[in-house]
Amino acid sequence: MTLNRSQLYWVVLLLVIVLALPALAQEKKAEEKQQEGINQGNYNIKQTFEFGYRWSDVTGNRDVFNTMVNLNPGPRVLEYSLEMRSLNHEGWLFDNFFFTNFGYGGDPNNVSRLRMYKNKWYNFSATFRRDRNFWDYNLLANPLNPATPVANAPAGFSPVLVRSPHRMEVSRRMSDVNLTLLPQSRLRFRLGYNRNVSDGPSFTSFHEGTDVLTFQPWKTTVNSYQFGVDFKFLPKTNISYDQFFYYYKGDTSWRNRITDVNTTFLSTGAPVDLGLIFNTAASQPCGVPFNVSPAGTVNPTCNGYLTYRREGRVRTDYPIEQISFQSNYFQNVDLSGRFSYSSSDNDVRGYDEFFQGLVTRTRQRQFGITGPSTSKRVVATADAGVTIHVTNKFRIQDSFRFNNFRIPGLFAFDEVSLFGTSMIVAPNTFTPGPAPPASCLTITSAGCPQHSTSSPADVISAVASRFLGQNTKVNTFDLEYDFTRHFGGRIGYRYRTRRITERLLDTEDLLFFPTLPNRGACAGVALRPDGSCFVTVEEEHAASIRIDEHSGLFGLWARPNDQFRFSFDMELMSADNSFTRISPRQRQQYKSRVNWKPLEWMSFGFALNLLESRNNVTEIFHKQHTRAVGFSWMLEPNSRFALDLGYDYHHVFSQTNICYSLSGTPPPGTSPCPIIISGTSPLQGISIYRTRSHFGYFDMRWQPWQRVTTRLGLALTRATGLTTFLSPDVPPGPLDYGYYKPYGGFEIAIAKGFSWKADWAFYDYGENAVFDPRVGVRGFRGNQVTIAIRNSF
Amino acid sequence: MTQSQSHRSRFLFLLLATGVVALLLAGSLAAGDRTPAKKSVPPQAKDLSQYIGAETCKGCHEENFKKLETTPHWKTMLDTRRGKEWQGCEACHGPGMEHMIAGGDKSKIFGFKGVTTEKINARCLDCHQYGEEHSNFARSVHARNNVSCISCHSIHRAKESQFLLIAKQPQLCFSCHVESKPDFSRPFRHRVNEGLLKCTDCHNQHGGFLTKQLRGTAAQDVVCFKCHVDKAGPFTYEHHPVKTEGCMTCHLPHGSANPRLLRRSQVNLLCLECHTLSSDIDIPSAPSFHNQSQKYQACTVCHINIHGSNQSNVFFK
Repeated sequence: MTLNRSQLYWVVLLLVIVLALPALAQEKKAEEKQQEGINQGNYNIKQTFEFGYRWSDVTGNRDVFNTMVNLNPGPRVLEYSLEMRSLNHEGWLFDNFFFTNFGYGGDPNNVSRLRMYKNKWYNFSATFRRDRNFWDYNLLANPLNPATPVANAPAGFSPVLVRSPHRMEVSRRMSDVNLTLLPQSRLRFRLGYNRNVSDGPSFTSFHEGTDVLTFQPWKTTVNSYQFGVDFKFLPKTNISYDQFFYYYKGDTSWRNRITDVNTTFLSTGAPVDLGLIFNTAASQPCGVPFNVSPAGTVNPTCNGYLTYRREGRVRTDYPIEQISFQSNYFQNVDLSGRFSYSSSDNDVRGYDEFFQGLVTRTRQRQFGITGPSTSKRVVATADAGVTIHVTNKFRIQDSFRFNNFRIPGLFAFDEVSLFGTSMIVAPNTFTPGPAPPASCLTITSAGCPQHSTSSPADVISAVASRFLGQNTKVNTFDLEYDFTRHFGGRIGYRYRTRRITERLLDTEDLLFFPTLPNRGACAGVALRPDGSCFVTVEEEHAASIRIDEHSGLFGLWARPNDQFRFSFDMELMSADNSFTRISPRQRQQYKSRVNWKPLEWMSFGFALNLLESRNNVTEIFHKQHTRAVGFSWMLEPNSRFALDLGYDYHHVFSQTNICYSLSGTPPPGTSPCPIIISGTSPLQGISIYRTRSHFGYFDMRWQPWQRVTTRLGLALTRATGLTTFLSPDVPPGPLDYGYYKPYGGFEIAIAKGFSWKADWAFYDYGENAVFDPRVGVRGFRGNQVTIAIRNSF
Repeated sequence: MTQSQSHRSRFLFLLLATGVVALLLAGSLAAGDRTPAKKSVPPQAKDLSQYIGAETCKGCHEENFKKLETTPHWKTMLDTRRGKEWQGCEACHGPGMEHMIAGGDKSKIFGFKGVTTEKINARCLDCHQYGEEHSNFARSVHARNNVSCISCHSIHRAKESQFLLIAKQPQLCFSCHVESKPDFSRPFRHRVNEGLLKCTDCHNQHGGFLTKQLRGTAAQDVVCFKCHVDKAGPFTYEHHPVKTEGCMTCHLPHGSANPRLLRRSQVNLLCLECHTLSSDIDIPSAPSFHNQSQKYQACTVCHINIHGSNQSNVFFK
């Protein structure tokens, strides 16, 4: 019998469990070995420094490896920590100081945390985190172009995209600094500063005519400031006031990078981008993209981009005021509350969008859009909570939340377009005046802009206004009773009501030039003396929906002794309406947890989580559930041996009735959609998504000799699934995959405080899909060895 | 409302009503408890002569004394303003005189073993409840499920010197939340195991006003926007469910088998689940020219700014 890789890993996991059993015989309490540190001056100082080098060998798809793991070779600061403690608790600058760091030298995640405080004077904490987010998983934006060559294409041209058009390598740096002054006094002050900067190269796509790859140099910055003061002048009562200010800057811009992929040229020699999508049968980018003569040049009547750019600085500021309190002033009553108000202003400055090329559907050869976009978000929130201790065993709790936000927005823009039918012919222009210009004396003149019936207005001046608001009130009422000190329960009721309001009002002044000036919204409108047509169009829509939710809450806990704890929670929700099709009208959640520590050095954990939700009404038939069950087992019989292992099973299922348009062979079980969308009769069918995943792990530490500590572990995930495929071209993605991560290592103590470490980790990811050359291999195997020196005192 | 829905609502109401009555009856019958409420047994006795001072405790409990000396609780020794009853060992364990006279009789002093969770929490909250971080602990899911302060913290035997935790995050959280552990080992995940994020960055373990003990931003928005700042808006063209239903409509926040932590493996199916015309839901359906067999496999190839846009009502830019 031969074992496949997945089975082999499971066998290893089982072996570890079996081999660990003898450790149970050693019923000896773990002896903690604490780092003692050195005393210097008035401080006890502990320091750990671990520096090493990582070797990495990756086979398979490195881009997917970097998307999921991104640990690459090089020297690394694996850990640096410093802890200082004042011996008499009266240090000069601080009493306690903690500073921890890891990941510096090239790892994707670098973190520094600093915390220091001086008894009654101050508490200070600072955190810096950097996350380098590499993304190139070619599925979401994979347009599934044919692997077959495109007729007459130039040498080297391939429509297959082996990399994600939405790939990115964006680094997010997050800094948080907080200072509390006079933390133990009746009047204390809090200051905070947070900064979040994301930047780096990324790509996206833009759709107009075809979809083009667009370079997107990402740059966003947030600076937020906090000032708070706490008053403790009333007995057992704390009142706080906080003022926040948050400022967001979005400086991302977009530009078509014609030369990045598949550079193609017009017969004039001008570079042109035919876009990401190649489906010539459906005229994407057109039926015949390349000329026979001159060979390999682009058909100028095809959808294509000569240039595209878009930029506009986004600035958002949020001042936020907050008052909160907490009180035990009244006997047997706990109170807490919070009120906050914020009003943000969002402003897009200097918006400028420019396109040159050809959109065959509309015959746009060039367009430019400019204009300001502004929006606000006004939020008022009030929270209140009360606990009444009726008896030592009986408590009444109530929690209320009010949240009201409204987001009005406005985009006032001007759009001017030029029209033509070929990228190598300059578009005709029209000059409005008292009479038709000489080049366009009649509305069918060849010197006029070459419109089609689908062409938009030549000049658009529009104001688009939007509004979204939601008013939410939630009240949760609970009765809690402790039957004995080992067993208790609660029962409660939650009511949530929401009113969501949506409004839009669009006003467009449209000016249509010949040819076909009576197209679109100008159909039937009298022409002006110069042959053009002007019309103002308004669109208005308003909707409001109220949703009332009622939830029954129930819970039990049992703690027969200090070593065993059991809990069970249940929530049953029913709503009379839903905002989206997949928002549940009924939801049931059942959660149970068990923690058992039969011995000081051994513990078991068990968790069950069942979530069922439905919007099972006519036309929608949405049902979904997530069922998870897992256990863990941890033991540390002595300081030389520790084992942590567990298993978890997840089952996710969803079904929803969907309608869609499809020209190919429909999947089985489809029927005509009962609600007709204009143009075609779409199909309807139940969209299914189901995955089952098994997760097992163990982490073992063993110290066979005084100077040697070994570590061995494994984390494995095996998932299978199925989903509806509307088209056979759709790649299955990670529905059926295995992700295995065995690791091991040892540490040899060289001298007091010094040790030498060697660690190995293996990352094995594979998708069990039929190989598709358009998608490529998405699996990888990565072997990593890290050698390090660790010094701690 | 259909007949079956009406029946379900009635059933739910009856179930709740029965449960309330049952619980109240059981409560009144059980142990005949008529003890007036006393949220905690305050450690502070009025007779200050009952306090013997930490140095006296050290005589028998030297190891614990030494541990205490290395922890932030030592600062109570230095705070003479509030009196002896708030200092050192007796600030938590109560007056030690009787315990000492009785030769160390454990029943003569407050110990944290074998007492109710409520009493344990009350002891800690006497000092720690002020401030937003702890002010809702009594109503937290943890407290209601009998999880006490010492389930996560240890005053004398902490393994983490910061916050006196009994284990590091996330292992500490995983010891109960077993079912969440695999999410952070999935191919697409938030980097919690890697140390970039902590569970407590998103959840307030001490409770709050939001469900799932979630934190929020200062502007009372979802906590996701604290890091994903570009998705917060406000936008002229909002994708409404982002703001009304929340990120979890489309994403699984801990980790997912699907790229971008999505709930479905195909973006189009996820979109179509909502964007199908229905009689009573005012959501635009996918237009007829979105032919699913013509290379439109991922809606987000075109609708790139799906979280909200300032310039495009269909989120193209």
